[in-house]
Amino acid sequence: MYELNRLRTLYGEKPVLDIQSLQVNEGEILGLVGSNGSGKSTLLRHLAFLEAAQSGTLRYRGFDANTIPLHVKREIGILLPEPYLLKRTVRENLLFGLKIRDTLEEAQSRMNEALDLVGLLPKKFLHRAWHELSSGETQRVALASRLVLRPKMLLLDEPTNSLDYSGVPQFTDAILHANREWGTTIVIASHDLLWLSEIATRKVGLHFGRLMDFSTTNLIVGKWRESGDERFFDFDETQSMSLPKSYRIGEKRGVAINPRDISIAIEPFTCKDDTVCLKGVIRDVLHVTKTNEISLKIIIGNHVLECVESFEYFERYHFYPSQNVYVSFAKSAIKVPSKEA
Amino acid sequence: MDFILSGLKEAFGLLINLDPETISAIDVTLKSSTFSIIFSIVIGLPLGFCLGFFQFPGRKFLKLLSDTLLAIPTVVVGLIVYAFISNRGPFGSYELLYTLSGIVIGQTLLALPIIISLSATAVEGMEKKLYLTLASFGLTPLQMIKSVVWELRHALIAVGVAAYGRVIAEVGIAMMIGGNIKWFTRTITTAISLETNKGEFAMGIALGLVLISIAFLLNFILFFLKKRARIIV
Repeated sequence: MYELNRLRTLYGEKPVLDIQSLQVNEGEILGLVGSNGSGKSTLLRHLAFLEAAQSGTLRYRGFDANTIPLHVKREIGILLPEPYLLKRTVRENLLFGLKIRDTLEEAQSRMNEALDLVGLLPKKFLHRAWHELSSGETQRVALASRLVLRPKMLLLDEPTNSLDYSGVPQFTDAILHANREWGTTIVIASHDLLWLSEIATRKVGLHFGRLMDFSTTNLIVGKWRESGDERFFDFDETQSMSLPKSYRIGEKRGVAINPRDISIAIEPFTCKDDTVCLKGVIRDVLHVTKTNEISLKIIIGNHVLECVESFEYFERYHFYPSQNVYVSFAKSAIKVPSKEA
Repeated sequence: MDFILSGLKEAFGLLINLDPETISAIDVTLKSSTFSIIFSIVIGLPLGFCLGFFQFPGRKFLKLLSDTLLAIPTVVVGLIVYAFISNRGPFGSYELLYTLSGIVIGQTLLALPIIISLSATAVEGMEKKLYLTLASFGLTPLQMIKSVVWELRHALIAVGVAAYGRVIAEVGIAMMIGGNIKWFTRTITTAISLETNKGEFAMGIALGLVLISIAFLLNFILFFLKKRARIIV
């Protein structure tokens, strides 16, 4: 659907986005992972053609950003973070996009369907005014007003932010419904790695505007100390981490570790020379149904590492939250994103 | 003290009995202020929108100019309009001096900077989120303008109400351009000023009460609009 090439955006002197190459394929659910200020929102605004990048090319279904016709642009829906409703009733909010597109046939059934998908009763909510909704309901209506258009491309920026516990699975179902029933291609930016692992067919990391290895989700960002000797990932009492001098990374640069390169054990073991061994506590255990794998979040110091294990491995050891575990990964698994990455 | 109380009593009498002279002043005031506010909105709102929405060279200067004109004294507007429509002025042949139309022209000019400046501020201060949300639906430029105006409707109506308050309460233009001619161009404010000079408190108080009621009503509307406009979900 999208083809990005050498896309660069600066705010002042500072590059906020610097993507060498990225493709978004039709029908996929692409997860954008990254911390605050990593450029996720900027990238989504570019993809929605709301803001132009300063240089590089961005193509949507072959159309260049500068010449994309309005009717093609209208295939794309974006849900902004901290969603904003028009100062109208829920019904008017849902109708807005349909009116703009002049597709009012089936409007009523589509509105009901969209509200159902986000878990709001049409009867109860259709005639509510914008100021009669809680922030969670606002978020749901905002998503519904995009779903009602059955977009070919749906961009979601932190969609689960104002949702409560029951809202998240509801949104997951709604997003999967759009993807499966209407073939909607979806890009989701979220800091909720666990949730993204559950829903996304592919994940991409963004770090200071640069893309990380596609399979990488563990972004460990300094502050780094340089360890005097060649020790790796040495957590000291102040919880700051150290890497050997040879890595020459700045204080705040991030390193990436593929979750599949990390192994965990419940018994201590002898650490080999080419391996980094750390002690941690399991915070979350999640079954990724799509791949039949187990995703574990492990707290090490004040950092969280995600690691992925097979379901068989999980069945053997029965990991559970709050369990102490021993984590290890090869030194070669630590990737420092190069400027060209 | 007595003359104030008896004036108040008489004033209620004038209002209850619909005294023709009092009603005439109210009628002229409502007519002139309504027409001038309509004209100034028709001219000023599009200008204010452009000033607040689009980026073009000289925009900041124009905004500064309209902000400055917010505080223009009514007698200065009166003076300028007088100069143009008096017999010796370029529009003297239209015989607008001492007519209701003349007052409407003056009051339109008075309200115009208020409408332009405040509506530009409202559009300029529009949240980026609103703009992005609208833009994300893929609007044509015309749909965008219509939607922005509709989303800012509470703020924009509040601008109109504020301008109306200034127009209805002004005395300088109505006096200089209208000439305070009984039955024709005498407005509430010019009548109060003249009747008080004559020592006729009753009519002054009666008209003052009407003016205060209108002002109260306007502020009541403003209060609710501002509350609405501030609700940002």
